[in-house]
Amino acid sequence: MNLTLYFTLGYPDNKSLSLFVGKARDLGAERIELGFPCSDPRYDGPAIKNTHRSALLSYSDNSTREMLEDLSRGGLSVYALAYFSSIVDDPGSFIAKVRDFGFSGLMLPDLITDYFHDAERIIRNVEGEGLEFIPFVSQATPDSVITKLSALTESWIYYGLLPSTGVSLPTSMESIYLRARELLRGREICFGFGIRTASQISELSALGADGIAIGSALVDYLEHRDIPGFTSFLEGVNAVRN
Amino acid sequence: MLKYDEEVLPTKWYNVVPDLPEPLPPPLSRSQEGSSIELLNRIIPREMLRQEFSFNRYENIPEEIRDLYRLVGRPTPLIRANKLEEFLDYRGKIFLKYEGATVTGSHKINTAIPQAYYASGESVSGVVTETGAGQWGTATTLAAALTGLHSKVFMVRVSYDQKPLRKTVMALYGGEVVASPSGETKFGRKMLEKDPQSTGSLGIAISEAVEYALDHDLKYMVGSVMNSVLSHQSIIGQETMKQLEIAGEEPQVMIGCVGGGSNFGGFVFPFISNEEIEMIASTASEVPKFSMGKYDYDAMDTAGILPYVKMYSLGSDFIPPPIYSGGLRYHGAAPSLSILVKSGRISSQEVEEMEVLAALEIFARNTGIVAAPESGHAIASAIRYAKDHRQGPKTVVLNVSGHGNFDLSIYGREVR
Repeated sequence: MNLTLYFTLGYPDNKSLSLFVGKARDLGAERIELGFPCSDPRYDGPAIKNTHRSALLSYSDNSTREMLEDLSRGGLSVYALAYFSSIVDDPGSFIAKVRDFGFSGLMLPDLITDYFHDAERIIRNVEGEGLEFIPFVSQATPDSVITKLSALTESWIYYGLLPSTGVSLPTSMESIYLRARELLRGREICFGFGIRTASQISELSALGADGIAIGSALVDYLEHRDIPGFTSFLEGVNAVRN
Repeated sequence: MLKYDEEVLPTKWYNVVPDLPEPLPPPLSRSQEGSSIELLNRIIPREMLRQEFSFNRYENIPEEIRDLYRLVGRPTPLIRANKLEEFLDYRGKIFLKYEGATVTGSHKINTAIPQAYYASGESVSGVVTETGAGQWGTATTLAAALTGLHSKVFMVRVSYDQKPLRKTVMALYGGEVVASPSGETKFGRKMLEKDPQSTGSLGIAISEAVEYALDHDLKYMVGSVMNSVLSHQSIIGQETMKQLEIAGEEPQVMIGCVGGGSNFGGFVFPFISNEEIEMIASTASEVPKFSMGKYDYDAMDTAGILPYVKMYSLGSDFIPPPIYSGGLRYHGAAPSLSILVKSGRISSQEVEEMEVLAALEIFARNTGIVAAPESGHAIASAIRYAKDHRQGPKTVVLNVSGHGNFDLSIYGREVR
């Protein structure tokens, strides 16, 4: 099962973030997802919202470029995440910037929900720049929309298990998995939102999930610049995901 | 008869979300500390929350709940309103689904039962909720009694004063009823300080009930708007579908009234994939949520304790005029219904109170049913439809969400 780790660019500071991301690569994460900080990360939970608030002050283009150069040498796939609401005035320049930085692809978590009628055009723009567009779907995405997004793209797909990151709510993992699997046949699906325990990872692994994404569960380690804690957490994840 | 009931009573609830034309925007937390989405874990039964965020197209209805549905009068009848057709000189057919036939007199019991059933499995002592016209409060108090729970109801002040008999019924079922705004919650006291004569609103009463549930470790019963509630109500539409099938009829126009959207959604959503059916949502002119409301994120409750949802809304601080139809005074409409109205799949229509009263009179004299004033909006829209399309020959199916037997003292004086 592939592991995708999410970090907010600039959090807790640019130098510490590079250390964490390097460690994630060393510990075998297959993908890194880097979020561009914005003022309204509306679909994130309290932990990631706090990272955006703090990272707005520390984010730097130069640090991001340097980190991408470093990561690309290790052969790691790195994806950019941005709220479309924060780039809506000039999406073209932002997409070009993401390409120039060397990201493999782009994820826009609010595009399909809040800008549904612009989505197809934006997806084509992203792919036109040679970037993968990573569709973000959730349980609230209707079947017809999932099918359409699947036809428009070729990349892996991010599936949000819950309405927000970092929250805990009762779910029926099996029925979610089966619906996703049926609608997205042949596509790699990465499940995220609210994943933090070994039992959740084991359950997804037993169901046969292709991948998982973890973000909110890392924030405490980042906040305290706790590399040993982070290492031990990822070792625990690796022990159950393989 | 029993065989017919068994054939008509659904075994699954239907959730429209997988069949919407656009993604349903998720709820948002606007709280400064923690997440108001996570807060739901404290006040909503676990199984109810799982259903709320699972969006499975179908959920099995537990047999214990189907037993309770039978006990309270399900399936409800589907009636051919042939005298009304004659009176209106309408050449098509008019059917009415009569939710007033449940023992509590409205569709509200359809979700009160599962919510109380799930709460009773979680070792809580009781449930708390709000009520506008009193239909939801009545359903809650009965569902609580049937599942061995205590119940408390914050009733919007204007209805509390206008509808004393509703209080009597709720008390008979063992419920404790207080007028909202009340002195029992911080939010209620704040509202009373601002306006001691406040007639209240559903948004304020919801805020009080949620605060009370949090402070007293009770489960909060959700009357409308949320997906799981509309799914529970889908038994109305599914029964109608089966009953029409047995009668060899195809619906072509479906009409219902909208407060928060639960009777309407429950009635029409099971038919949503049939693009041939015209669906009309009838609202109160005095609460023009679809024509004057904004489609954006807004609070479900006035205090903003619950998550924000994207819906048509007149603003969570909207204080509606004190019209009789308390159930239609809510400021917003269910997110799934809002999407379908925005996309044009469902059309909306507004009706003024005087037209509703006239429609209720025509309806009573041609069907015998004293309908609830809320349902009177749907009836008025159906009458408009029949008058505008006298040549028919479309088959109109109308949902009469409740009876108006407890409303006689209020509108009886007005009807000539």
